[in-house]
Amino acid sequence: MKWTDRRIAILLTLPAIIYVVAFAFYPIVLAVYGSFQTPSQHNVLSNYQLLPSFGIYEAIDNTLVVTGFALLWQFIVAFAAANMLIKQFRGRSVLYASMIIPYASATVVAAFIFGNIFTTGQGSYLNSFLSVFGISPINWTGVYEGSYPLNVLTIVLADGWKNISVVALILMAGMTTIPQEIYRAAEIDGAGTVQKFFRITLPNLKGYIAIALIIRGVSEFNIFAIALLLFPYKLLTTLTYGLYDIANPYLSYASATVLLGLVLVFAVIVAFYRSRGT
Amino acid sequence: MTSIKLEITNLTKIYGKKTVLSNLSLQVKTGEFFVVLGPSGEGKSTLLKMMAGIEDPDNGRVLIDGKDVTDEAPNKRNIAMVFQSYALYPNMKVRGNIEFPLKMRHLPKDAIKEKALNAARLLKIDDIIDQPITKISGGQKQRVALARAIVRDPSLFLLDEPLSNLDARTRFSARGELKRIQRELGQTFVFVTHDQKEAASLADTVGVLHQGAFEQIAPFQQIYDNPKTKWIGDFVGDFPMNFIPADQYSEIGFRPEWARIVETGTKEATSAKVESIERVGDIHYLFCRMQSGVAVTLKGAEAKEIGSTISFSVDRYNTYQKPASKDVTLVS
Amino acid sequence: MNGKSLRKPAFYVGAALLGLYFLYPLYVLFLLAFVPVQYTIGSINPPQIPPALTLSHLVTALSSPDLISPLEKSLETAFIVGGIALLVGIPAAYGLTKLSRRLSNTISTMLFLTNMMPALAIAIPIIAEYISLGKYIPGGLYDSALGLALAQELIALPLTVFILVGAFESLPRDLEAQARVDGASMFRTLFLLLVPLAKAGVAASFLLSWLLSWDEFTFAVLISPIHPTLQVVIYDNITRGNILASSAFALIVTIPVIVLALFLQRFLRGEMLTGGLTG
Repeated sequence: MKWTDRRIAILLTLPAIIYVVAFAFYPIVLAVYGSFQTPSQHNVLSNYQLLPSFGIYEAIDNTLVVTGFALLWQFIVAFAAANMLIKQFRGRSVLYASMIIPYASATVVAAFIFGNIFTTGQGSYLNSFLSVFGISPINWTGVYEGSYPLNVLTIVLADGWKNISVVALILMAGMTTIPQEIYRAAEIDGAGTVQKFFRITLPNLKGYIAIALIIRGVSEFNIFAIALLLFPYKLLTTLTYGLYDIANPYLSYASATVLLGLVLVFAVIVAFYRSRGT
Repeated sequence: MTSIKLEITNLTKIYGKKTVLSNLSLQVKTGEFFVVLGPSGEGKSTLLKMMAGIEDPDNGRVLIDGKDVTDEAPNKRNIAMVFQSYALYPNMKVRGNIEFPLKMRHLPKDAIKEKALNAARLLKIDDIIDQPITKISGGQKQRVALARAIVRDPSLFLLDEPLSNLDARTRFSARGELKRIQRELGQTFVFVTHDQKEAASLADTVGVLHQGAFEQIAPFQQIYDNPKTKWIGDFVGDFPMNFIPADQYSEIGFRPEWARIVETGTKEATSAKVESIERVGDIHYLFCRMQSGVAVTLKGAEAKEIGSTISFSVDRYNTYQKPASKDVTLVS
Repeated sequence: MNGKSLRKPAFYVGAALLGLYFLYPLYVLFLLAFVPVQYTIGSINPPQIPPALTLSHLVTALSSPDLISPLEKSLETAFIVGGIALLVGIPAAYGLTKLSRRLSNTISTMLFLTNMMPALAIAIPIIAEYISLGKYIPGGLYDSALGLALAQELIALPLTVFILVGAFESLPRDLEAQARVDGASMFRTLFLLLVPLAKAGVAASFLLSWLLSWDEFTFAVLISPIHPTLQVVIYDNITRGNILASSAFALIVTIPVIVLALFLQRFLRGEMLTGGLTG
């Protein structure tokens, strides 16, 4: 690399770096710093002390639950989808296209559609479907005794619809790097589908799973639009949004910082396990 | 007194733990056709890339026309390069490819058009100048690459195995053309190849590059007749040089044509058993094995039977000092 | 029981179920937008197969005065996001291919991390900054298409860079070297050779960035509430219970999505989403 060439390469990358620092890293620093301010004081913890009264613990709880189940659902279905899509079969391109459209769709639209599928009372398409089997209408999005699992189910299905494709695509990319001969050899040794999956596929995809986990996991922690419309309980994101007041944004900053902390802990854990694996 | 067009001093390149090129020094005269000859993967392309400025040396300098260009970007060195893959620009037609270096010099449009056409005529591709490069043959692609190289009168030409991707027939005629063009233009060529036949027919001077170092730099005939090391004797020539121990400190090396088949029983002759024969035209090359187990290749005018024992006498030879590694140096 | 003979039908059933999961919601959208009210939200158990179709919802939405302004806002923002993505992303991707492994990995990680920042944590400080810019620009960047686009760029730029790095690296290595030797500066090499050859990647990046902006909600609802984008309008309609308006707008929003998705599916690969960090 000539010195002049390297200098130009850095120059070329500079706008992107400046942008990222200015619009991502700097605001984050401001938010964290602001979380310790109030309109009247500096460097205090009062914002954080107020958070429990707004339901921060329930919000963290809900966020963890939703994130956990969402990831579980997305990865299971994505593995199934990826396993299918790497094979050739009639209608493969249809399945592939049908997976891309949800990915390209807006979250609000997804929330809207699933809202109508899972609604109670009139216009519920899911309840309409279930009624064919004689199942009485279920209240999916209401809040009542025992409704929590249903609420979680609703949001997990709605959110998964849009996001399974990302995981599936990443897993597919990883699967194509595994040479077919390994599977043939395993088959000769008598390995069944399940064994092939757990002994060959899974270990070889560690890196890809980790990346997908971080990408999706962090997005799940940051879930917002769909939660706003479908989930009747508070998440960290909806809490942050609700606490935002143009005159006193600091309370919101505190909530956002808690969210950020959660995200970072998660990302670090996954990254740590990934580096251990390789 | 011819000037030095290209000089490299103490050029070194290390990739990770491996030293690819170690302390190379070389001077190429203006107008010379210099061939870097060596086995694949031993640094020839890397050397060329450093001359071009596409890669940086870890140590050493590159000088063109006396000027130190080591720190200059490739587009400032006024050199032309032809890659083994020809690196033709797929998004342009033949004309666009040839005109590209001129466009980079901001020449006026008419001058560009004219020079490009002239270069195409010289390479006999003016009839395909408006073809997309996907539609032309391998031989034509090679000519386009050459036309693009000569179009702007550079100080130096670097060619990285430009004939290797051609079929044998085309390669043969391309070789002759290349030599002709170089003579006509009077340009300095640095040509890299692993094919010693190409070196033999094209080079004014050959630099034999082995394991990252120049083992010998001389005209081909000299390298052929007096290879500095056993390895060169083995690598250069249609058939490897024969090596027979002379005494406990040295070996003699001789080319097949330096020995004569003689009557069995002739004084001072050595005997060997014929193991196989290769006919090239009228000449029979006999692959034989001496009683000591050493293999020799001999040249004979008449056919001999496989399995028969023949005697030969060596008329001319070089002496090499042991120890018994291939990189033994020439004594006399 | 022979395991193999069971496999094929099970496979197709699975594939069909999967397809159903992906396509059924789109079908529901279609129903909500094109079926008369009494058969959709007006009925306790809406039929899965509609007895009738209607264009009235679509007509109402298209002639709604609420449509024009948000549509313009969404379009404007999306095109700015796509444009900036290419303007900043193309040089950045080229630069990354020329830098040392360590430096380019660091920058890639920086870009990758950007995607992970909670939008809410970023949006609120950004709003404060935008408003304070009102000293220099009337109104500052708050509620503006440019302001929104700059925030949405955080999602679009990293993806664009990763796609383009992949596209550039898939080109034959000799080509760039040849252009340099032939006298081209790095800029000319990039714009005269690399970009034309990476046309597909450039197009895909632009479209993806455009789409991501078009679909975006979190930044839109916070940064541009006064002149909202279509996504925010849909959200408002949903919370107010205007299902019909929501469905018609949702359909309008989804039309370019489907068109572009069908175009992108040929190009989108999993490798692009990982930023080259799987190694």
